[in-house]
Amino acid sequence: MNRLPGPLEMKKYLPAFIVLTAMLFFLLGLIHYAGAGPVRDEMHQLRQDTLVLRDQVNQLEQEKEQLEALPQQRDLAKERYFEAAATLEQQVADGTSPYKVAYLTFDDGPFQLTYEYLRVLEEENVLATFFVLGKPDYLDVYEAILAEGHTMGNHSYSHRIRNGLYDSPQSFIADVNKLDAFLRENFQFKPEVFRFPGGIRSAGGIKEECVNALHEGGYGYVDWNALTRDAEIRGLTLEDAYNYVMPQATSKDFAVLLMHDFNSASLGALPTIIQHLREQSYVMLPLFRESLVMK
Amino acid sequence: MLWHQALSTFKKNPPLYIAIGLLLLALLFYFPSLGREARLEDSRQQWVQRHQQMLGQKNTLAQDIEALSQESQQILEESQDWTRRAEELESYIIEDQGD
Repeated sequence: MNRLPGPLEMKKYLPAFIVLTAMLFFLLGLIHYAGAGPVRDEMHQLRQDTLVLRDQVNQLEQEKEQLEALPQQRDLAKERYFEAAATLEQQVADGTSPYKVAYLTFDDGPFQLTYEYLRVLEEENVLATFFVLGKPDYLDVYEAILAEGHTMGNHSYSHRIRNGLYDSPQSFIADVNKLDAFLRENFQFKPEVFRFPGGIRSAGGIKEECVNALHEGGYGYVDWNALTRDAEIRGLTLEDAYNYVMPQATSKDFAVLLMHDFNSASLGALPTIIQHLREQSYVMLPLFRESLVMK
Repeated sequence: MLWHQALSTFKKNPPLYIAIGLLLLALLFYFPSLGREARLEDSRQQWVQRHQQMLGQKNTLAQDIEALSQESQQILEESQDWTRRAEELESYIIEDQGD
């Protein structure tokens, strides 16, 4: 029968035991190291994918920046146009320009016929001004006016000249603000030019308060000095429209022509009016807040 | 002196001290391997997070760009229109000839 090793023999085997333990720990270490391999590989792959993604994100950020800069470029181009318009006006006023300026303005819209006016203006490459009222049924027409680059002016929401608009400064301001809110809500657009329904004379005794309120609201206002009389005369022909407006317009360096975009006579006369204005050295501009004709 | 003491101790039982040395070396290899695994896992988690973050950022940007692209063509055309109109209008302006 084998006897158990005594303490002296144990001491003899102790180094071997320690070496075996060391080998065991070494082996365990190797297993851990090998076991981490898949995690390492996965991490490596993730790192590569993330770096590729980072490049893609950088490219997309650049693309987004370019797209976001587009409205600013458009605004700069628009600003350049109106700076040129202001310079031209000043030269005409100073008498240093061989040209004159005409502003085609259309009141009381929008109407369905406004689309026809827009078509003619586009064909003639002319920008005009539409003094609009509040008409929720014609949202697409407002949209088209703005999209074509024309100036949209405030002409009050209701146009109730004899029925409340000019009762008091408060009633006037409320009506103007109502159209402001309507345009802001539907088109995120704030007009800067105003025309009094019936002209400023219609405001009578409250004229001064109304003008002050308009200025406080960031508006300039303008009347007209030539008209086709398309809102006054029934059965107006396009010859009549032309004959009424042209002598008045062509006697001025700054001609503000009044028409109404519901009227087919003014529409019919419009191409000839534009052509003859051009022949007489008129440059046609849309109205803008800093224009010399704005008050 | 210390070196002499250590040498005389070693000479008393060389196999034992060699074995102890080997054990220490094995332990030095083993214990850091435990920590290494944990560190690798932490690192992997961080890369997973970064990857997901980048992926989210990429998707958001792609959506933003898609939305912007729909309007961009129209804005570009408007920009070109205003530039053309400005150039045309500038042709009517009399250049300052100076004194």
